[in-house]
Amino acid sequence: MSSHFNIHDLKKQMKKSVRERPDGVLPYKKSTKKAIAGRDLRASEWDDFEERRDRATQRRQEAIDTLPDLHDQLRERWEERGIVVHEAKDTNEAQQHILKIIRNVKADRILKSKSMLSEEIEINDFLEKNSITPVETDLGEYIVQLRGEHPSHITMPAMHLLREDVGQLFAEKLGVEYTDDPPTLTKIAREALRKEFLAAQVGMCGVNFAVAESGHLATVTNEGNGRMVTSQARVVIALMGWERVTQSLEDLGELWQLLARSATGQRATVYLNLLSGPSPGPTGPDEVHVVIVDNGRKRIHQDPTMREVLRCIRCGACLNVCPVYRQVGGHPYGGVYPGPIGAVLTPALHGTREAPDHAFASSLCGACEDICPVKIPLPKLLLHQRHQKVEDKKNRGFDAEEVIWSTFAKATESGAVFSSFGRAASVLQKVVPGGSVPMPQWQKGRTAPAFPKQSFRQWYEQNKRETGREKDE
Amino acid sequence: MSKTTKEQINLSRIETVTNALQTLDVEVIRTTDSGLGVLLIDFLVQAEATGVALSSDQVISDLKLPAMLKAAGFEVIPSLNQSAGPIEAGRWKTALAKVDVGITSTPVMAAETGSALMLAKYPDDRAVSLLPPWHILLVAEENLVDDIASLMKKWGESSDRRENAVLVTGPSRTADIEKELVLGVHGPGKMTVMIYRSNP
Repeated sequence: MSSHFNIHDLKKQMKKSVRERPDGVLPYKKSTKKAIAGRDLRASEWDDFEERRDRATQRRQEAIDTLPDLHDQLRERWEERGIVVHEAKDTNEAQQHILKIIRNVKADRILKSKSMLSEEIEINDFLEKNSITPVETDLGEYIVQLRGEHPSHITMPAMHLLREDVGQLFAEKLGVEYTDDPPTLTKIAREALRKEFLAAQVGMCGVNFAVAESGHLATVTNEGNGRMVTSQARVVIALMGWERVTQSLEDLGELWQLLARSATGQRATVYLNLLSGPSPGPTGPDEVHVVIVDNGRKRIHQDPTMREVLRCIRCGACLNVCPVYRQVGGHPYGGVYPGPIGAVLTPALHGTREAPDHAFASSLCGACEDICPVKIPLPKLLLHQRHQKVEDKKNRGFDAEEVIWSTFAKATESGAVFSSFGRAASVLQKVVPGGSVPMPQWQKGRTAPAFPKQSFRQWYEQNKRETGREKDE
Repeated sequence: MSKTTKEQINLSRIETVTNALQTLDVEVIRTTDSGLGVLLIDFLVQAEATGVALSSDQVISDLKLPAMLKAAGFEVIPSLNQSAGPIEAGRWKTALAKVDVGITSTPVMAAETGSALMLAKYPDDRAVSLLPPWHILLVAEENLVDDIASLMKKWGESSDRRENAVLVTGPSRTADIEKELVLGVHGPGKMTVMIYRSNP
């Protein structure tokens, strides 16, 4: 991928992330803990929570298994209601479709509500290069855009920031007086964006689900920006991942509640926007376009094991519960989707060669699978990808890391070879400049301890003889 | 179903929905259709509201709210003429954003979550319940159902469920800064639900 995403250096970025927040006051810890508490409360409220999860899992899988048919149904609905359909096999095609729609109405600005897919197709950078200004309107996305960053969480984009960070940002970029009071900061954003909404010509939203039976494009929001961009703009562009289809409004109602409960601990989100097409009245929208993006999803669909990941409803609960995510946050994953779902989805979408380490960014503790509302077997899928990587590597050449680990593995199998390592280290230390084996990263701010002259094995042999302890036993 | 059982079910739904809405910081008021107008005016006066936007839906006109509010001295934004052009629509939206309160009704509300269905059958509704800082929602007791599944079903009884719609559950909110809850980001930050009983 030619882009600002860096999905190739996961290990390096994770280490960097841990180093940069040495005090342990990670905003992530606080926010994920709150999110999980909310989710657990709402899960306990339903006696049949587990049955509902099972049912949703089954319905989601049925939808994934019959996607081509459901898409046919959608086409019919959309044609009846005058929604224009654009299919994009990759980022480039999606960008071109969108540019064409915007240029057709001669707009130079678009208002966006939250869409992770829009991050995936890097639409903001692309539009800016084409002299069109994209304005993010979700508060978290607005903050992240002002900082020139990308979301660090699927449902809470500015999770990596503290209130002080936002206060400084607004003072700097919006010229307002510094405050770190969230209600005041929110009001500042409301006022800045309200002007934009009232003048909106083109709006862009994501699609949580397209409903095959009714043709609705359903968008889940809390702030109201999703409603704004779909009802106040003249032209609406809905961006939809190819797999985001559900069968009926009944299924939607169930998934929506599971999503809200799992993501934010709400019984329902404030708004469930159901866009079925253009409105004939004076307020519009006059045009509704849906851009369906493949970007590797159809390939995943062909793999019967990986296919299960397409059930995902993007609640982000697996991020909140993941011990790795809670330590390093979202940015080290480098792509659009962080956490356990990102660890599976990133290599699945872009290939294990592009994202070689993602499948290993997990301790396989299984917390993600336990919390997933549609029971995606994330640990199983991570193992599947590790296996794929190994298979892939068999057909390739030399890998330094693998050589080191396989040597280490062989050494531990033999006592003699293993103990020779320790002796070699204490000898090496004497001949290497600086008195230590060079480990430049580790030695930043640390002094390497001297290796003992004697190894533990040597010491034990000696002590055993001196105390005669072995005889007592 | 006997009249008493029906009343009991309604009462339990009212209790459920009241609890659900209160956890969302929504004020809940119970009244009757004949008392609703007077109560509403009283309520608006107390809140020192002066400008009001009304939905053009059937319930609001049946209750004769536009005339009543005008007579009581409120500035009422007239609904938008459906043949208006984009410039006029723009002006109308700007006016809506300046009033104190938008009043709409709902054909069905789910008690468990406090979610109300708003249909864009009256295109004005979308802006009336979105642009002003305060949303007053009128719900007839008989339009309360148990949960989202029942709401979807009831929606299907009166239409093919193909129209533009939105489910509204409480006031606009965010927790994007340190997960601290703040009301009123882009939509209304204040919401009042008036549950009224139709007298025979």
